[in-house]
Amino acid sequence: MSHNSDTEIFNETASPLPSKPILYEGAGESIGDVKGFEQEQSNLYQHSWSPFSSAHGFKLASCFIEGKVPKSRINEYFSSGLGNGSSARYSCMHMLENLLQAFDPHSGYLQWNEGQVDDGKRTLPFFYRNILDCVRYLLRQIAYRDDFVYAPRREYDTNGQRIYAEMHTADWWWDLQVQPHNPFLSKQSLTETRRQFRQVRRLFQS
Amino acid sequence: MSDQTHLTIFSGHKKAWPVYITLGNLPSGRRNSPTSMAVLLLPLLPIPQNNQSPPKQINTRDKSTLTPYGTYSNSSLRRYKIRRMIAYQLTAPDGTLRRCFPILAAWIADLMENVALHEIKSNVCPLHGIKSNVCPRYEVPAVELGTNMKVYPVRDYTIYYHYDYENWIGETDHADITPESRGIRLGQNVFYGLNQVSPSDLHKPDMLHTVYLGLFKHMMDWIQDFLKKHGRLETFDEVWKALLPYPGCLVPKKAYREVTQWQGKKMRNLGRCVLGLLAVALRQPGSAQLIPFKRALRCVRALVDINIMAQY
Repeated sequence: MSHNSDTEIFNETASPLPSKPILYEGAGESIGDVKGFEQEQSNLYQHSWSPFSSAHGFKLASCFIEGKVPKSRINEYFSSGLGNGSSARYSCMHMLENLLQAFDPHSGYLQWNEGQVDDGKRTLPFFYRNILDCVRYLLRQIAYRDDFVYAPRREYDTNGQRIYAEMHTADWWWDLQVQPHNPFLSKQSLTETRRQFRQVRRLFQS
Repeated sequence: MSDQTHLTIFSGHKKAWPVYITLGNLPSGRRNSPTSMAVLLLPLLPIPQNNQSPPKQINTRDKSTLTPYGTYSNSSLRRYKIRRMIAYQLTAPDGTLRRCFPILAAWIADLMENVALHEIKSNVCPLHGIKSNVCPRYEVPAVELGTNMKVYPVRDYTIYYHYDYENWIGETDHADITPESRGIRLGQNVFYGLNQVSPSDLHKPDMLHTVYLGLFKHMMDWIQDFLKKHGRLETFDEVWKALLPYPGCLVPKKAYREVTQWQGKKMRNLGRCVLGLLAVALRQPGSAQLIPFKRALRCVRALVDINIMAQY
């Protein structure tokens, strides 16, 4: 960032433009196409308000949800004749819930599981989601299509100075994806671990 | 990311630890935007009551069961761990299949929660008697925290486990090097056994503790000494108290040195106006003060710039 007071030492120059980044060949390449994705896309373009029949139905539902309207009041809205159920494609809360479930085709990934934790005195329930299903859910969101980064890169300015910005431009990602001989995965490390386990087993047996 | 929270709806002062997940493949601007909905809640972990006051007499190897996450490490939370380097064929948003390796890259949490997660020991400084926590990332002795004396090595847990194993079987040349001497407890904590994950890399500095209560506090102490040396401290205090109210800007009632404890919110507010205040306090310098004043302003401006960039 330039400022007049910096002229004491530094010769300010115009902010450098990034030069050509270094990419890792083959990183993040796709290994195939998903069947039915094109069809899913075209359906989305043709029926923009699906599973709602029209913009009216969608906006009414979002108004209910964002306004945190209670279920009983939504049912009252339709039973009193205020809402036109035929144009909205739902005429009670139950139908709206079914439509909302169909609204997100990947909501099945976000199921909750129940687990138990024992603290020594009593057993407490806790709820969790499958971590890989959460990754699958986030990966399948078409909304992120233009932003997703699959491979690391090294960026430089015109003076050859490295620029660090996002996570994929830093060293951690590059080291993990590019360097094949990671110490965690090396054969020597695995052999050493196995040797230690054998030694421990012998100690226990003796 | 996670943060301990009090459950206000239920009675009994219960605490819970929600843990959230997001993907590093998304740029930070997109990932952190609330409208992107890129953050999912993974579990909501209740904290058992007896964990909040652990018993004093306990076996060293069982200490991990005392921390909130340690309790779960021996239960169902274990299924979160991706123990091997497994490639998954996952569908990308562009409709293609890609080979993915899910790896835990960072765990964003407050300092005190990092202390619990990494099972860091609280050390008492032998010189000053101040209780402080050791750094989760570097091997800094508690007495040297904040001194910036030298470059410290990053914690290497593979070496720790190796030395611990050698000590255990009794074939060691490093009997003096124990996990306790390095300020940590080696146990089966939540990061234990995760492949491709070095626990010291997971710790990421947060704005509240690192910048607002760390760097800014250090900078203000330095500015106070600098102003005192050049006889501008009173001018700075006058300008400080003359700040006008503005939406989102808290007006200070006392001079900086009169406030005993600074909160993160007030420190953030200070960061917004400290450069202007200092520029006014250092106006009309003498011929000998010209260069030091200019350098001081440049230092403070650099730090404020870093703060402004880091907050996004």
